[in-house]
Amino acid sequence: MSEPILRVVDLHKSFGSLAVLHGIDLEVQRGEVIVLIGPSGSGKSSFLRCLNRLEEPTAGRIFLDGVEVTGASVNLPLVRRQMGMVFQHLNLFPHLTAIENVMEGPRTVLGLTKAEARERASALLAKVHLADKAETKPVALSGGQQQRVAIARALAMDPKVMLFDEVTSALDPELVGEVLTVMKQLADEGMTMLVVTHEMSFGRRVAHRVLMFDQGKVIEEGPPERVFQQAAHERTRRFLQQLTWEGQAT
Amino acid sequence: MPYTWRFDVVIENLPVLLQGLWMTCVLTVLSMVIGLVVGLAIALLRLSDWRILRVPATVFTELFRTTPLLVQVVWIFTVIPLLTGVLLSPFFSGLLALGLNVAAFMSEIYRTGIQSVDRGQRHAAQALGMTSMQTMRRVVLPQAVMRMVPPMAAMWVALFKDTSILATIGVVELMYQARFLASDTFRPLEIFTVVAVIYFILAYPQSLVVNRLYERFRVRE
Amino acid sequence: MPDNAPIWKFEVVTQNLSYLLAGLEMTLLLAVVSMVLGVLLGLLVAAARLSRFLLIRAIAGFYVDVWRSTPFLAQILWVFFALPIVTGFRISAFAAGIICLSCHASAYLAEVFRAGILSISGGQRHAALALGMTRFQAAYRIVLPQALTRMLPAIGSQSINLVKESALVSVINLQELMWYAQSLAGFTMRSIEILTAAALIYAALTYPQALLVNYLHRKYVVQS
Repeated sequence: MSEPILRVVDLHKSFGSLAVLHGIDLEVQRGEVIVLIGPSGSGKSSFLRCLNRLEEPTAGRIFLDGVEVTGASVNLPLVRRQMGMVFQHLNLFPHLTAIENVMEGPRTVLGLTKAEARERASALLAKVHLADKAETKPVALSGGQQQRVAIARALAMDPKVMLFDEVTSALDPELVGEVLTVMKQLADEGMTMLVVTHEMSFGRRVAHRVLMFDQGKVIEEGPPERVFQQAAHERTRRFLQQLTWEGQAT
Repeated sequence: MPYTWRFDVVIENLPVLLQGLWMTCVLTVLSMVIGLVVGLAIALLRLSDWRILRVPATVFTELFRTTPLLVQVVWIFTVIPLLTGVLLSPFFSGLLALGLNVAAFMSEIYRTGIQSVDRGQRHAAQALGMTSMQTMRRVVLPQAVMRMVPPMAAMWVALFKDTSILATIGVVELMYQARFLASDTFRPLEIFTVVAVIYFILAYPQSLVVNRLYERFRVRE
Repeated sequence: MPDNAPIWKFEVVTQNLSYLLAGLEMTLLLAVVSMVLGVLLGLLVAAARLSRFLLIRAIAGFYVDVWRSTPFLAQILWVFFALPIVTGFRISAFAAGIICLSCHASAYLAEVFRAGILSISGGQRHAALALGMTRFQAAYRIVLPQALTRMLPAIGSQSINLVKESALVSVINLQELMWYAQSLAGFTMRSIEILTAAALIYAALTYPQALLVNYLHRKYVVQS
């Protein structure tokens, strides 16, 4: 097996006296799609934010493509541009159009010319099926369209890994599908992805591996068939049951 | 040669400063009362259906909001006696200028407060069969007051500081006493510093209260 | 009407127009220079108030509170008469005026900037950082442009206040509009006309700004 694209060693995170991550270890291979599940407050979102250091890990080490990204001397912007991130809250830049949102990173961070950035952004908007919305401001886009632009915005940096933090949970149910479709398409193309989500169908169909978080630890890990059908851990079974019940109730 | 601070000069003259401070407080309270009453009247005129009432009220408000307070104070102190032949003491012309100035700003606070109450509330009250007077008194004003209190409190603090401008026409308040003592004792550093500290000590806690009011009455939507 | 009812003689204004215009020029100079300095200083103070370090936050907070909680008249008299005793340097009335007006404006503007910046959600900053922007890039490319439109009306109000406050520097004999107006009023004995003219000139300066502020408020603040 080749060198993992992402390696996490004994990662800890606490806010004051409140510990949210207790020693997470993880190796992610190139092209692998990992789905992180677990109850809210279990630490999965914090874990994602620690990876690109939007939150500062309390202890532990992270290696991206063999290079350590933890430690004080690391160039954070350089690290972050190699890990694309899409957030739960719709946070496109409201003062910019869809295409300008996608161009913003390449222009400011990568130093591309306007023409180069525009060319790249057009291709990416086409990829997320939004070529016709290029000149539209975020307020005039649906939540699903905004998230697809956000995915294009992250892809524009040509990242090695993509992080998805509950990107569909703020969306109306009928808009979830279009976003997941784009994500599946991305996975099929071989993008390495870490996905925090409550959409179990996505986990079942797309994930190579599922990680169950509970109280700051990974309590269950394995291929989706095994985790979803024959979870070893009682907590995992209960969590999954609850989700399906809630799914039936609505 | 290092400067020798002589705070005994200030302590010696403290009664003079305190006398000025008392006048500052009197001026603040009286002009606030004038401002609250006259301001409400002007706000109602501005919300009137009749143009003939709206226009003069608007001109009054805009004139007082767009010119410096110093100009208003000097204008009223100098021009009113010339126009009317009635001599006004510095105190009365100062009070008049401050009161009208506050009234102009107050009328805007009243007006935007009243207009900020959702039209649906008015319709709901009218649908219950309330008269427009009842609607205003029982539905609109109680909600509007919540939004008016913070800016009015801010106005109060600004007013407290603005009273100092009346020193220029010879009203014997804190700032007047300060300028008098500064030249009388040849100790401007000590006198002006202490006076600035007095204003700060009195105004700063008030501004904290204003901040609290803004947080407390922030419209929850 | 009293016996000595005045006959309005506005020609006294036109006769002395050159003096009023000289005063107006100084008023404009004071307002423009102080506004520019006030904005720059205000940005600096706002950044300091948002600093991670308690000491820097505390100093900036104290600066803002002092300028906002004392009367402008006390400030101008202190800077002109007391500050030279502390520093040993005499300063001109013009310098004192500029210092006071700029610092005064900067304290109010710093609060405007701070509130505007805080009104932009943390998510915007995070999104910019996640793209690999530096903290500085995130601030000036993403947060400030959005905050600016929300802050414009408040900045405009400060500019109006600055013009009005500038009348007070006449007390240290800085020869701006109000100083000329008061001198001419005494000299010509026609205070009615001269003072009214001065008031109207001030209104003419600030009223268009007030209209602009209302327009910006409707356009940017009410909508969002």
